[in-house]
Amino acid sequence: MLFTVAWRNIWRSKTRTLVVIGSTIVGIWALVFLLGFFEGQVQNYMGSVIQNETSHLQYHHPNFKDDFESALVIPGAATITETLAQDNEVEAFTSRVILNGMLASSAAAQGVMAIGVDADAEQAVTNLNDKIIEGQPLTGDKKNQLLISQRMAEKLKVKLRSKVVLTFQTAEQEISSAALRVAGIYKSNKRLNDELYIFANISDLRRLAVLPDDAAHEIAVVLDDFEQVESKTISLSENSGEVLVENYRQLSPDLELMNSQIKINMTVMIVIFMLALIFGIINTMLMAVLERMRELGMLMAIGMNKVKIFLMVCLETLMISVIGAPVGIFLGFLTIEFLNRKGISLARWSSALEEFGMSDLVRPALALDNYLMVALAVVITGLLASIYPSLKAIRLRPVEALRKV
Amino acid sequence: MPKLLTLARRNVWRNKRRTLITAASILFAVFFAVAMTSIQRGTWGHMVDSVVKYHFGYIQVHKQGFWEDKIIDNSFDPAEVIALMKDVPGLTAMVPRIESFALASLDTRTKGSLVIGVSPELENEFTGMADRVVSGRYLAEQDQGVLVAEGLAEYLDLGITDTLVLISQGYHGINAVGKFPVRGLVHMSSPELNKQMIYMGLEKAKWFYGSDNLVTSLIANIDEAEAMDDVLAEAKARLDVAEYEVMNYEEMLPDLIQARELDLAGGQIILTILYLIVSFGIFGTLLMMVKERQYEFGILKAIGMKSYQINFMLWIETMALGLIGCLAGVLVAFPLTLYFKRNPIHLPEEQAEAFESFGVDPVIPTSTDPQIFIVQALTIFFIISLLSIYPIMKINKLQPVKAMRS
Amino acid sequence: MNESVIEISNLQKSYTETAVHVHALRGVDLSIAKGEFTAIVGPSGSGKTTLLNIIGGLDRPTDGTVKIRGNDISNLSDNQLIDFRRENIGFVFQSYNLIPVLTAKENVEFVMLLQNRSQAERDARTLELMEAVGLADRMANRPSELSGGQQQRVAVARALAPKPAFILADEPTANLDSVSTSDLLDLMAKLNEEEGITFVFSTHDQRVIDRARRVVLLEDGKIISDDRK
Repeated sequence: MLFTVAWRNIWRSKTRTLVVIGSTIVGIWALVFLLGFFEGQVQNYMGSVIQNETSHLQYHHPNFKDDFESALVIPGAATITETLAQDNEVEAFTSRVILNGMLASSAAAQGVMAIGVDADAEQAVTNLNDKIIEGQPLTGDKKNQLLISQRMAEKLKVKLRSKVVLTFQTAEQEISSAALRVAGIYKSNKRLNDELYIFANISDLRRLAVLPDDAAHEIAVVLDDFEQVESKTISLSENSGEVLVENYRQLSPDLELMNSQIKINMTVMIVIFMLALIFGIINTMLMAVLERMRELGMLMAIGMNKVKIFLMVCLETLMISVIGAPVGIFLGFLTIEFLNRKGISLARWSSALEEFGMSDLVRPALALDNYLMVALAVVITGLLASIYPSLKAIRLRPVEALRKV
Repeated sequence: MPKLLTLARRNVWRNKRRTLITAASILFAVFFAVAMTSIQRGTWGHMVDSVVKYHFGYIQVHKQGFWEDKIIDNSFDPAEVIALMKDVPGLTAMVPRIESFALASLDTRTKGSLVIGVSPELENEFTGMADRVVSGRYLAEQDQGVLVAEGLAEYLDLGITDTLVLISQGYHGINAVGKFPVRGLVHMSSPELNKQMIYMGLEKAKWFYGSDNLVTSLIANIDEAEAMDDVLAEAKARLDVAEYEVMNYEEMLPDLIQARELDLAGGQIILTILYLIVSFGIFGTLLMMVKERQYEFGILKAIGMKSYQINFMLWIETMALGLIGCLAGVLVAFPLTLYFKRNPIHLPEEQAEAFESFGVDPVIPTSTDPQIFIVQALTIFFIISLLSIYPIMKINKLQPVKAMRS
Repeated sequence: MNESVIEISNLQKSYTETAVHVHALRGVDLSIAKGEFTAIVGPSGSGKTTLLNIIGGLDRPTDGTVKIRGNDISNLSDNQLIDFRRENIGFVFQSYNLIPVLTAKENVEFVMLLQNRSQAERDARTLELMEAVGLADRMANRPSELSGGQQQRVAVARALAPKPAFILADEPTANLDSVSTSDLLDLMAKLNEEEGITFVFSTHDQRVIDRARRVVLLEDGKIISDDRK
């Protein structure tokens, strides 16, 4: 019965109730959409990082990433690659030799990270060849081929077939140089990386850096099942002795932090929006209670106890708060679905975005548990909003209420 | 008219609770808007400052084509430009630099770095670098040594008694190699610059790169940011555009500017939605105010008060409400923004690293630009005026007899 | 002698209202038996309102005792009073008797709902009561769809629902025209005579006073006359 009374009560002043419902719908709709936008950005970035930088997991010598010293190869790399080749949870993997150095053309010089790759294996893992916009992928037939980015080509003023000199430190800790020829020019989606990475055949770099034939500084692995990454990292780690096995989370701490930062942002947004809504709800319900003082007095007179009255007002508040929520959530969901297919263009800022490898096309997306979180937030807001008006309703004494002129 | 104001004033306080709750919602929105905008502006201001004031400067002059192609061959003799730019109002000095790349190496470690040949005194006047030397000392006038940025020094495991080897490509392709004693370590507030910079005396740089009298850039040291546009215009007027290029920091750092715009745009959207929600609340209050005073308005109209007078009174009441909320919001926000401007929040270790990897200094300063506060007040003013339209229409249609019967 | 429904002894009530100290009741003794049809009258300031609030369990005395159906209610807490009223006292107010969002039937059965009676019980008794007040055909109407007189009659039905010790009618005819007034009074008199329902009125309305069988007059916080006809 309390439900019936409460429900009918809120429609006593249609306009007033509709204003609150309206604000809830708009607020929730906007909130859901914004959450989807942020989530979309994160997913986008994460996908990009995994695809192009970290893969699912990587092997390194434990100290290699401190200074990129050429001598610090992965111990037992050959065994590891053999094992990986037979592991059917592994979809693809690739070995790399990495040298820190300087690349010079006749016009300019530039600090670089030279990555020695096996073209086919690399393609399977990071689609390197798909990024080539001019010239050829690295083939094994010619010596000292090089892949540089379009950006770097511009900076060094070189083009296809130009000759450049790479200066670096060998495994024997001596500075050495080698001439390489630009075989292809690539462009990735992260300019920050383009300005740094050049690619050569792993065999060439091994030879130049005076490393054994099977040496590798890095082995990158892609698994069949993304969900398995965490557990696989642990299991591979146990079998690799002192070799460091890390998954994309550990390799890209800024990804982790972006994730947690976004989560914090999203929670803050929910709180802010709920707070904005709560004022309107409290005001409306307070009005609804105060103008019914006589009636509430009558109810207490005929024997409705304070608990029931408190609950009734509580229910009324919850109802007006919550009605708008499903509509708002649904509208938000529709908006996200629609814009997910269409994509939101941030082309105006694409230059800045490209620097960090963020796409200028955002596809909003939102996981189910976020929708639930929003729904829960609305309920909590309604409950909190109900406290003051409900207390007001039961604080009065029937005598005073009834005798009010 | 004064009576209207008195009426309005007393009416605002008639329903204290409702007034306070509505004002509280406005307070909340204004406070949040101010806080967020202040933090955003502060953070970006700091970012821009870090790179502009402490490195790029507001305006730079180069040989035409240098920015596209930052090679040492694109250098020029500064004498002519310095002469032409003499006594431009707002311009303190033209600060010369030679900027190029070099591979820095100590023992077994090597890293690419940005070498800047500077005139130590002029440079210090411009960027105040001497104050940011964290160990060792600043460069002397004809110094043979170098200053290394903290981050770079850490990477190379470098201390102030070490000698750094630099390798590069000099003017007209000559080999540039040299050994440089480290005089001091310097802190750059832009994390990116902090990992790359090496400063040496101008003369030494000329020797290293073999560039005679030539420099790559002249930085315009302007005393006040506002003077930038004027100085820029002067420079463009006085200098031959075929030979020289004149750029302001927005042209030199378009990505930074874009990123700032993107972030600020995002913030604006959130604020708009917030104000939209609060508007519903204000509208609800207005509706309630009109509805419960039907009887009273009926009487007022019956005794001869005109619609526009009632409207005006109502408008003032609502404005007063808005003003109270707005002022309250500002009053709460302002001391906080002031405090955090002087003592910016330093982020904890974990987050600091992530920020730095994106090239952002891990502090959160705030901005106390009055514009931030004024914009909020204007927004509230505008919203309330807009929302008042509906109640005004209702009052205009009000018929005394009907109203008094309800 | 009939059992006493309301037993008041040496009732005192004082309170402070914005710096003025008021002795509303200065020692009232009153006994109302089952089946009475009694009006309590008095000018403003006489303490009539206060007396009725206390009889109705809406207020507590400063001194003295109030017994209803033999239960001393003078020291019950607010919550206890609410429960007591529900079971023992029926109210008919001047206005605002009914819950506007409920139909007549729902209004009448409301108190029974609060008492957790079964659906069957409620339905049966509601029908019985609505028939007794002559409004069985208006059960599905909301108060806004009923005339003033009809609303008051539904209020009577509602008041009767928990089989209270008495019905306290506070100016029940004040908002009614003469026809509705006499209809209402006829109904109340009939219920009193045929069912033995005790009625206590507070009224200025001469028509009510005329039909009351006992008139208690209050002045300055004391009973100055108590006439039975």
